[in-house]
Amino acid sequence: MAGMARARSRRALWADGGPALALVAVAALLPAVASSEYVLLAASMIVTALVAVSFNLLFGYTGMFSFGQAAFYGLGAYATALLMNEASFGFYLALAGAVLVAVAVAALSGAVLVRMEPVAFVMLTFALSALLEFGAEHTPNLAGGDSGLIANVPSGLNVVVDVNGVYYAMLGVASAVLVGVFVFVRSRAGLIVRGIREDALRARTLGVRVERRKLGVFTLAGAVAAVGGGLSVLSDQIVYPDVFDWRISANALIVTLLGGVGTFSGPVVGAVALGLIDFYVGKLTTDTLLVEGLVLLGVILLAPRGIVALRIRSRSGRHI
Amino acid sequence: MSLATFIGQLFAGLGLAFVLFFTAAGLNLVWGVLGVMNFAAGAVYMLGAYLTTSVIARLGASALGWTVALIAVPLAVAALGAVAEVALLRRTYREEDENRQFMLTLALSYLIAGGVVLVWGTHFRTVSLPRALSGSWSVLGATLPVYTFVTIALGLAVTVAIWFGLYRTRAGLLTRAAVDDREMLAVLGVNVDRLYSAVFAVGIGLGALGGVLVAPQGAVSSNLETTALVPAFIVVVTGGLGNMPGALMAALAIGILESFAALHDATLAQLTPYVVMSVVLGARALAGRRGWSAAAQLRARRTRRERAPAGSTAG
Amino acid sequence: MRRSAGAFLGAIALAVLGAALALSGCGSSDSPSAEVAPGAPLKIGYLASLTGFCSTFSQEYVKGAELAVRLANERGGVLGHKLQLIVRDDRATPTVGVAQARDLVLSDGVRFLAGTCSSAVGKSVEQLVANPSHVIYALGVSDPTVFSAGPEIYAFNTIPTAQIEGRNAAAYIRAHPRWKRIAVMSEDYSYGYQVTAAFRQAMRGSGQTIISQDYLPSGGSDYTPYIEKVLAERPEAVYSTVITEDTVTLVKQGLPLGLFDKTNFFGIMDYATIDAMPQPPVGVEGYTFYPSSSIYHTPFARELEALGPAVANGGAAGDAFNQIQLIVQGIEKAGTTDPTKVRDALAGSKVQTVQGRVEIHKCNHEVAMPIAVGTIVGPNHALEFAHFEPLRLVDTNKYFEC
Repeated sequence: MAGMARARSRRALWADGGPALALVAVAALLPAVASSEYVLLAASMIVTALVAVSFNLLFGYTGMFSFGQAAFYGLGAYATALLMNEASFGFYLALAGAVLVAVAVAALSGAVLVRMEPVAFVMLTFALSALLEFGAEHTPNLAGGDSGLIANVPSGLNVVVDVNGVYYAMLGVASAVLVGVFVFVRSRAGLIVRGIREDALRARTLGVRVERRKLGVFTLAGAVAAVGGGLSVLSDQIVYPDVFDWRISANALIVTLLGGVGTFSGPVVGAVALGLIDFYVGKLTTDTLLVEGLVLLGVILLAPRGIVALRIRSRSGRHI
Repeated sequence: MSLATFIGQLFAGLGLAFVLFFTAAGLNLVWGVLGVMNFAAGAVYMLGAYLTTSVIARLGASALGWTVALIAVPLAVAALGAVAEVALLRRTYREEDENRQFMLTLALSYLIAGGVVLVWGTHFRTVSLPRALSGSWSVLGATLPVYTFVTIALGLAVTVAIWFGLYRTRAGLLTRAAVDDREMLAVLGVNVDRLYSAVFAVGIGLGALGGVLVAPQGAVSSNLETTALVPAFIVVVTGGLGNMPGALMAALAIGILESFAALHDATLAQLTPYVVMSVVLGARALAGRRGWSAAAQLRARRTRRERAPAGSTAG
Repeated sequence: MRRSAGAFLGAIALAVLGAALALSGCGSSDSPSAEVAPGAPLKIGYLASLTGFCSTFSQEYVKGAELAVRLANERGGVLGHKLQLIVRDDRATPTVGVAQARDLVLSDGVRFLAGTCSSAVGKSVEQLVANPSHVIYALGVSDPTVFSAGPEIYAFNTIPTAQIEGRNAAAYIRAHPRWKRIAVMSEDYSYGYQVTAAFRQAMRGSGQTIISQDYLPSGGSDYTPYIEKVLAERPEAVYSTVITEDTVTLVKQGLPLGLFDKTNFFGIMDYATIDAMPQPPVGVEGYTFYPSSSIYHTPFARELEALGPAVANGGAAGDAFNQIQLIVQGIEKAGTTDPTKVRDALAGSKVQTVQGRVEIHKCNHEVAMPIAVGTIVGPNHALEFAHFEPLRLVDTNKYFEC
């Protein structure tokens, strides 16, 4: 019995993590077979995936609908660039510092936000990112204002010099974050958090400190999004106030839905899928909003559980 | 501060406030009855403005063109809203996940924004006001644009109409009843589906009306979507979700304070919505009251009740 | 579960590490020759802001660039190379612009870039491509800091910067010494800050006082409170740096409040913007870098005019045309397609533009384009669109400090 249960849990583990693992493996081999155009595309997918993973932690696992993950993505980007420029930190040290900044802001704002009614939480997370965008635009001396902040990227990590090197640095960091998130969602804490999503009242009755757990996830999600922002500094070499744009938060939502909300691999699969759609559609038209709207609509109506669920269902034979 | 300055700023602030209130009122109505936070409100506002430029460009910047735009554009957009409600939102009310409705409205906002680019291109549009509305009146030494009077008058009229519609008509009675208990209403033989479509259409139409009013006053571009949405969200949260008088008060406070703040620092004046919201939410937290209205609390209680059986079978 | 998770994590780590090790040797660091191979097409990457905040002018930019390429190819190309224009949308957003420029340089092997209407895009792309790949970049943006690094940079500017613009405005206001109380209305972003700073500095010692300074929200839909406030200060002149669609909003809301009757108004008034207004502010004094091609009687201006007034008017087409011309003439002057030699040949030289022969300042690679100042009139028998009459071209060479 115990052996069977273990085998089943192992199968579930591979089903949940397998697609992401497969994509990471493909990503690792990509520079050998593809031109730099596709390597750069994959680099942007890595960044998108991390923001989506962050959103999924909140929405998919905990049931908290954040519409402001751009706030932490942007903080990660600005803090990484500023720490490199002003404090002459190396990239990895700056990234670590940026994560701390995001954690601090998430913990402070989250202490208020997680107590809000769900709809107010949606709107206030949105307002937080809008406020930060205003702040970035209006602090020309610190954040470069709307001219943006050009990051002094170390010469060893200059994307124009060594696109593959930068790509592997990004992939390495992102993989480490994915591993961390995987451990979290598979742990007891991850289970408790899902319990809150299913029934917060019951969880509370069972002695779970709901607000504290929610704050924990909000902070973790902030850190993950900040890593995404920090990595974007490597590929872009500039940070601009539109890192706080609500479309980044919306994009995380679309990507997560497309891949499969509440699954570990969903956001990663979705980031790759939407990245490819945008890439090929972008060659045909500049009106990508219409296409993204149609993708979102299609997913909500036709495949609310996302690509990952399609795969799992078809394998188990219940659905073709 | 001279009296003329005071009147000028107060008046300009009232103009700001009412344009803000239209979008916020639309959001509130849809939230209060349907329980949907309509993210497409900003896109609807922008669509209303673009349609207005087309109507006035076709009929001329005359009293006729402007009046037709004022009536036809909100109606047309409301009809579009009704279609969207029937085709998309209706199938989701009985589901547990209210987030899907929010996502549908987000998809709607992308489609509208993409459609606007498709139809009108990326070039900004601009049309004139009819001559009768483009002048100014002098009141106690202050020069006040006629069009701001029009905006304020329409704002007051719509406020009264909303109040009258909600509290003095049968449809309003049913609407308020639907906020409290949808199932009971259906049992009593009321066509709840039709009521929901109507409420959604009215909410969307209100948002478009704001766009109509703002269109001849400046340049119409894709900027309008976000410039409308963030302050409208803040007004709704500050006033209390689903609380119409609260939203009106929040809009007035933000509009007027922003206008006076502009006297000191135009840049910091843009932060007014955030400051007002923080003060109100902070005060409410200190007073120990929950941040939303009685109607929303009822809704929250109801969804909890509805979800309980689903939760027990899943657990 | 523990063991299985460990295997899973191990697999990820192995995949990444293995691939990294296997591929770290085969990076694309083989630097291509500085020159374009004989007979091969000479690729020019063009960043067009097809979407985003300055998409208003985007089609005109592209048409101007295409015209310049066509003219060069009709003459048999440059040094035996046919020109090939690769147009990309930068969405007026630095991250997108950087991605496009990066891709043009890395994937298409582009050594010559032009375009963008956004200073932020220009600044970040300049930083990205200047080092170490040495890409010539011709652009028309107002941010002087893009060019402040000195003569070593590979970027060239084809329009007056915010600094030149502010100095020119101050010269205009100083020419009216009877205006003692001056109010300034600016855009609330870096362009507005930079013009204003240059303006204020150049106003020092004039005996005229700046009594108020307001930064209007960019893309805002209601400027009434700000206009009321400024007029309440009773200024004798208002200087405005409010541009494009915000000009439309300012003019519409300013007219009934008396912004153009109660005080002397002077501000940036681009032809494309005033022509878009159903009621342009006739009689108001304005300036622009972007008048119509028809006011310049040069061979290039006549070529542009053939594209019709919708393109020739507004100057965006002319700006893009000039950028391509700058690259073409630079290569011809240098006698090679090596970007470093092209840069050295251009700096300090004079080039033919739509506006005539103009100097490229050696210290900062800025082209001394004239600024047009005049009084707004509506469409009339002379020109079928709103324009300046009379119009005066200000030589901007005197505003440069080299």
